Amino acid sequence: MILRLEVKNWCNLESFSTTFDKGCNLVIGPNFSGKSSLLNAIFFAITGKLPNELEPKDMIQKGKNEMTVQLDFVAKDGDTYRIRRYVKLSKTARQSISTHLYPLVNDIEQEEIASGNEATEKILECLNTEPMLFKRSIFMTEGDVYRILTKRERGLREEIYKVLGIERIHAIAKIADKLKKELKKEKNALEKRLELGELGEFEKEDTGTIEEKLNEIDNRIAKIKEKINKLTNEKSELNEKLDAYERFNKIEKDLEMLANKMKALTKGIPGEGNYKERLESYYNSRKEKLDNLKNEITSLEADIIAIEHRLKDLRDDLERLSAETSICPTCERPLTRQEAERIISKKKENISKLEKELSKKKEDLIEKRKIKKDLENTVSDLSWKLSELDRALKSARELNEEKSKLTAEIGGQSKSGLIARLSEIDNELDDLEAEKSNLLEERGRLNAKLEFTKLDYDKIEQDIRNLEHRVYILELFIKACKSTAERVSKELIRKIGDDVANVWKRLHGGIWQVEISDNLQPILKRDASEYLPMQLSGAEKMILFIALRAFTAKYLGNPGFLIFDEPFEHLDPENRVFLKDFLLSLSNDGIEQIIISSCDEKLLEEKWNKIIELKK
Amino acid sequence: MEQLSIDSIFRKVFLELIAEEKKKSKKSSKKRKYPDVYTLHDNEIEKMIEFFKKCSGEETQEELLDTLRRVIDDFEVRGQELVQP
Repeated sequence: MILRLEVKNWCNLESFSTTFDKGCNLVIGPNFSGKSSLLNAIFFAITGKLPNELEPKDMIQKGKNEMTVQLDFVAKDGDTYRIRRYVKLSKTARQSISTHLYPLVNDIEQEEIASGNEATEKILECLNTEPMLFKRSIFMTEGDVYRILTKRERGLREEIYKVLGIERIHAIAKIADKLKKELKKEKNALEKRLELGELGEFEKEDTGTIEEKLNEIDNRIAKIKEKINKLTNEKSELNEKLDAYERFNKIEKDLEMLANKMKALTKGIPGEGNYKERLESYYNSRKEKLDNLKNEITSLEADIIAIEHRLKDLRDDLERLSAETSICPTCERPLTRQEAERIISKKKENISKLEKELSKKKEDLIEKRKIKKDLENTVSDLSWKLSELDRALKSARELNEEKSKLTAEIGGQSKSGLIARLSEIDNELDDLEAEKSNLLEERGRLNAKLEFTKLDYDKIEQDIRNLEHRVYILELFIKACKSTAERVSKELIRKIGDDVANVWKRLHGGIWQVEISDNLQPILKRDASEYLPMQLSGAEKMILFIALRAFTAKYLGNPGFLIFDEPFEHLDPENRVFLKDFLLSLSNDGIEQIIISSCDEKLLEEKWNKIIELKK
Repeated sequence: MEQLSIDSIFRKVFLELIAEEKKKSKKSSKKRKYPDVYTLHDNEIEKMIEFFKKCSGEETQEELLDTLRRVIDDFEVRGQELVQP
């Protein structure tokens, strides 16, 4: 039973304290007067949490940085306690909560008996309830009834599972089952090890003898490995020789190609000696001829220019001599017409001679220039051939050098001989690998044998027994969880249903039955008619819901009081009286105290054990 | 007044189940190889009940599993007598 509540800086209640009596306590006041805050303070004092999503720090009055909630209550065993929770806000808005639980003797606070989470656990233990049950069956926030009763099947089932704590049991059983599977796996692994030893695959043997055998096998494996290495090296050498053969053949082909190339480069080149000598000699002769021709062309061009000058002079003289008064071009005396005509005739003869000579020289020049061009092409072609020949000769020299080296490398062994030896080595290696593999297998078997010989059977057997023991406990635990869930959901639901049916009988008369269907939907039955919660009026829903809660509390975790925020909302005077009488009748079921909030002043006309009036 | 908490129901169910198992094993004609394995000790029973009680239903699966593992890790078979089948 709740005796007294004192709060400081809690929401809109700056400094407030009140006592509660046995029976029905009405907390009344207009909207925003702090009715719900007061009920939430009781919830916070008992559980350390809030019934909604808010955090305790959110309840600190605006402008303040700390608050206190203190609650005095009577435990199920009759002892009286005081719980004090103090919430402080840091500068960074982080909350720190301190909780202290004290026994009270004649209203005097005794030495603290628990603090922090331990204090919360102790309070719930004193009140014989659990956090989830407290939230779901003892304490009803405003609007809970509609939130739950208007849910569809699945939602309702989950909700009732939560109310009854079945969801929690399922979660615990699931975890236990997970751990059981893990342990079984571990146990099976150990059993497998033991089984191997017990199946007789290995007979127990002295560890010294096994170790001796293992050493012998190791020595044999080492020798085989040595042989394998030797043969592998030889194989590698032989393969290198085979490669040399391949390269030798390729070089010979390359040399042949080079010889053909050199032959092609010197094709049609006259002379004697090797490719290079012939090509060089021919190139030099062509080059010399070209140089000479260039000189001849230069001389010819000079001659042509001189003849052209000379012709110009003669034509100038001829022009002067053709005038009426002519002057001798050499002695510059006046000439008679006859003298002039004779000189003109001579000059014309010279001009004719020179023109013929010029014409011939020009033809000669054209011819020589043509020859020069051909020669230049020939010399250029020969120069390219010479460089190509040099390159080919250089390559041939290098290839010949490599060929000599390869010949030494091969060392006179025939290719077929090499291939035959390689095949022999491969066969030998296959045999050795097979032998090694057998020995390794044997070593593995001996090692396993050694391990099992050294194995502490007793220790493994003890571990297996411990694991089996734990698995067995978990199996029983899971079974107990399932049975508990079943018992809670079947038996208690039936009992709750019977009690609710009685309330319904009082409300409507006649014989009513309340069945909880497989999907946990409460169904009200009278004669042949069925009523689902959804079909009920608002007042009926409220009464049904409060009855469900009250009887859930009766059978599960009843702390001796129930708290309802605005349960009379939408009820007419007749139903209000009915609900109030019903709640008061719960004292026969161990619920001696009801705390109810309301803003309906008409309720003041009725009789209450205690009225706590709040003002804005 | 008939009023039980879930924890009390669980305790009752668990103890009943253990007693039932004990009876069954006594009646059973087949002897188990390691009978001690199937003997629960009082402190083990109490620890399991305590574990059930302490789960508020708001822990994560990992937290629950860790707690249960810690509880059960201490459980060992006592007595080494082997009964030959």
